[in-house]
Amino acid sequence: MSTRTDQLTLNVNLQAFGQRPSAWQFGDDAADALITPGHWIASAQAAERGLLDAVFFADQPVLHNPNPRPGSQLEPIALAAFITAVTEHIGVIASASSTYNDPVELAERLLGTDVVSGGRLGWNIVTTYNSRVSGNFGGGETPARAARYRRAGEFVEAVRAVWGAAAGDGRFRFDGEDVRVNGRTALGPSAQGAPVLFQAGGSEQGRELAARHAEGVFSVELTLPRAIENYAALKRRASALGRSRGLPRITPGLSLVIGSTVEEARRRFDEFESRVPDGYALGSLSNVLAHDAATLELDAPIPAEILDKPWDPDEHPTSAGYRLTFLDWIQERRLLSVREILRDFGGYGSRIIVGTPEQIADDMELWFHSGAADGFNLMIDRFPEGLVTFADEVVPLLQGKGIHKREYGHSTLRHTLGVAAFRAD
Amino acid sequence: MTSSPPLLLSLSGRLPALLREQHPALIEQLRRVAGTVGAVVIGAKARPLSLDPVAVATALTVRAPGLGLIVACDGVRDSPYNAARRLLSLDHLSDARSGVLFSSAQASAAQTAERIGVIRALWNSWPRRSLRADRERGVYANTEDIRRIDHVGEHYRVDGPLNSPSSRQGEPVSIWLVSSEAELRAAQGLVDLVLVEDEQLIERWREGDPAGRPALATGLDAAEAAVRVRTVGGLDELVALSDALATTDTDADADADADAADRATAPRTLRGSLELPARSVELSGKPLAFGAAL
Repeated sequence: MSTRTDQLTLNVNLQAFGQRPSAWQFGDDAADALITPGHWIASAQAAERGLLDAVFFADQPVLHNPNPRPGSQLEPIALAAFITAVTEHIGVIASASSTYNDPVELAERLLGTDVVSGGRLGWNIVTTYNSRVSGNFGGGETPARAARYRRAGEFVEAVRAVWGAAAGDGRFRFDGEDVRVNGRTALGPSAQGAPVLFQAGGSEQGRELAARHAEGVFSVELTLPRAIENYAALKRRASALGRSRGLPRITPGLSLVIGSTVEEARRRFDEFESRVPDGYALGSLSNVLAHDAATLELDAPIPAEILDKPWDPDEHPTSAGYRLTFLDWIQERRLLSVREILRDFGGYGSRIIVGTPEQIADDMELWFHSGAADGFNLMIDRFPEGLVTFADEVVPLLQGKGIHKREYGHSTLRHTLGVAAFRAD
Repeated sequence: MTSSPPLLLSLSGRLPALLREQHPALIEQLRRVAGTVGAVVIGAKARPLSLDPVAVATALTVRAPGLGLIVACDGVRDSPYNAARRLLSLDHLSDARSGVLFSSAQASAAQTAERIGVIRALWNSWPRRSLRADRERGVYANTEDIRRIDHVGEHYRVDGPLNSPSSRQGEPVSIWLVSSEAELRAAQGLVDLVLVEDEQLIERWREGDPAGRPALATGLDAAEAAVRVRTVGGLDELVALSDALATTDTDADADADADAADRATAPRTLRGSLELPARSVELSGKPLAFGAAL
């Protein structure tokens, strides 16, 4: 155990009706709840009640089939302007793609929103690999990972040039290989200078981007040993690049289904799962296996030739970082049947705890003090109720352990996260 | 029912800067006029940008509830898909009290018309009537209502559908800031309103075919304050964008009756406040995005 004196960075991923695919089938939400202000007010206020640092929005500019699981229906940066207006302290971290945005347009939109929010905005930089997205932006091939990340790195530098200019005489210029910008902005700096920069994506190129630029990282870690190793490696890499000590703040995803007893939590989990159509979890498993899981025998283990086949992270069609940690995780489950694996696989892309507030708080403390995480990006089964339960049942335990704040002390997101003010390069 | 046409207010002088900072005295002014003006226009003639129009408008949905909000969109460095999404997001968060002021920057009339057409088609691609949340059958949305737009034009290629369901007012109100005859022609049948300053163009508008002709707004360049608001801390610069929102032959009484019926069930939309007819883009010939419902 460490003797760290800082506190958890806690964000919550506000995914539509909730992280469980069947979340919309419970309760009596109207069909159009996701486009009504009330849903977002209730969720944002629950997050603020738990003294969370920020709410987070993932994003893909494409419509996926809303059956069986409706996705997000509002644009995250507009939603950030709304949520910061209905709350007092909490930050909002909005994802936006460097693949399908213009750097100057996005830089000004983010900074303009940060100004209106009183300095409570974060930007999660993502690159887009979904091939259906490109059809909404002129068509053409989705660029390969290396090309996407080369653009992303230059894109971030161009955005920072615009933000730096806003704090100075307004003139900006950046000349990269792929990205070149030159002009003048009439925007001024926000209360925190400029938005906080987050990064998500665990590929080699993603980690390089995080080490160089990010103040916070959303990662996927399924096992503690690998999380500790990756945590230390990223901090070393950032430090070697001259970044301040402690940067970037690393927050793995953590799915929670909370019950007052383990049995109650499992019942709740099973109830959610029983309403998901057959094949949903198999589809999710297929993505990470890079193999059609529907062809697998449900009552037999996954064949070794599928688990052990050689692979190239640059060619893996979906998240490479997720596949890396998944391959560790599956090692302990090689003898389990596909059916049993699916049950543990319920995080659909993040680690999951189905348990009591005490178990959850103890686990978070262990990861925090083991040097595996600076905090977590929480995935909540259903909004707002699951988040209210977290705020009322888990947060007091974390406060008792001295690892979560007892009140908001600051007004900007940079202050809340304990990261330095924005400085132009 | 209405004795004078609705007003659109565009803020000038130092007011945009105060709006960007969400200055409390200005917000208070806007709260007071929320029930009496048609809408506030945010970001007109704003290059280089000193504020983000959608962010400012979205915050105003909370701080000045009920205010109509029209945001500028000139298409510079922007893509129609991203623009359509955030404009429709503002519309949802404002409870259907938003509109868009399109303008061309350096683009041709044809390109701007294509851009507006794509954005409007996207706004119609996922009809909100498809939202069912049928828990018995486990069907969230009836996918046989959701269509691609499959647009392939001179300047844009966009598949759709948009990932936001359509507005409670059908579509956000669309306005084109028109500055040439070519733009005026291209606006025919495409937008709800044209905003025109040039006297000759206003004359051309009067001569135009009333079928499909957008309503006319004018006064963006007017120096005089057509709406006087009580001065608080010198904030007397609220300048009327339009003191003559001339609408084409509408049956005001029938509209008023329909509005009264509307109001009984839901708060008034901006389209309703401005007495504009319903507007939609026909997509029934386009392919289904996901096939028929389960």
